[in-house]
This record gives sequence, C-alpha cells and structure tokens, in this order.
Amino acid sequence: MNRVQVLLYPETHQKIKNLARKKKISTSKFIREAAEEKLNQEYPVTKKKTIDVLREAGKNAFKGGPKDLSSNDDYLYKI
Amino acid sequence: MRVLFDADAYIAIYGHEDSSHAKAMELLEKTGTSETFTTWDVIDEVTTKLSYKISKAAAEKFLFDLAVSETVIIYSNEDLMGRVVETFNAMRSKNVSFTDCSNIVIYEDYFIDRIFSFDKIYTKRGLRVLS
Repeated sequence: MNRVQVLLYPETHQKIKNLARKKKISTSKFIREAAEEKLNQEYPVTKKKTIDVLREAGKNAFKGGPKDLSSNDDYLYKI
Repeated sequence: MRVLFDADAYIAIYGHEDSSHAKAMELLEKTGTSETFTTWDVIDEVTTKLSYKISKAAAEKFLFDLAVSETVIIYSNEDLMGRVVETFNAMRSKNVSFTDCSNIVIYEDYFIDRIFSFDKIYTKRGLRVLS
C-alpha cells in the first residue's frame, strides 16, 4: 500500500474517528473503504468477455485430476 | 447466439488432464461474442469437483473468473424448481441428474441457442449443443 497524506477538516476527521470506532475498525481502514466505495461508483467494474476469460483459463489449466473428471459424476460424492 | 455452459464444459476447460480439454478449448472458440449463461447448480458442481479432485486453488480460480466475466448466472426460484421437479420426474432414466433437468428447463426459459456440454442427454431431448 502507498502512504498518502490527506488534509481533513477537523469535524470530518472527528466524524470518521467516531464511525470507525463504532464499526470497530481503524480510521485508515474506514478511509480506504470509503475511497473504494467512491471509486466503484465512479468506475464500475467492467466485466470481461467470457471467451477471453476462459481462453486464458484453458491456457493455464490446472494439472492433476482424473481424465474423466468432466464426465464422471461419481467424483461429486466420492472424495 | 445465447450459450448455456454446463458443468462438464467448465471442468474440461480448467482441468488440463481431462480427456475433453482439447475439445472444450476448440468449442470455446465457437462461442465468439455470444451471450453466455450458467446456473447456480452448475457452479456448485464445478466448484465441488475441481476442489475435490484437482485443488482448492482451481475451484477458487473458477469462481474468480466467473465473477469477472460477462457470464449471466441464473439462480433458482420456486417456479423454476417446480418445473425442474416435473421434468426430473418425467425422466425414465435414473441416470439423468437434477442439474441436467434444470438446464433443460432453463434452455427453454432463456431462449438458449446452444448448450456447451458433452452430455448426450441434451441431444436426446432435442436441445442443440455447441459442436
């Protein structure tokens, strides 16, 4: 994480401290969460094309597991 | 095109050793810019199998990928469940899973064009699979 110095109005700072205490989190965490929330509003997470996500997953497919894992439903119940 | 992903398709993509891995990757290319769908039941199956038989990391990667992709997740509800139960009860074979029946009902409800699956049950029931 990067350290950032921010100037706050005293009453804003006090309100943040009070709310953070109420939520049992640190003032820093409260400010981080508030910043993330604001950013998510301004820049909603854009979803990726399914084909692109799965193409990448296939390229980096996981080693191991039985050859018939996709077709054999017994594996759902037998560990 | 609207494509519904079944559990076996996902598992074949994520499992390098799976005998259908290469075929799944080939078929994936045919989805192109399709609208993609899957169901909560399918997610349950895929996550469980990957975790049990490959690794927890594989299951977590699948869930993460699903969250960042455009795939629409279809959740069950009372009406849907009622029709899935009817479909399941009407099956003569004891080898058709409840999840398969759920996919059959959703295929019609959501005007799906192709189902991405290697399971022969769908073609037997007249559903069009990705090929």
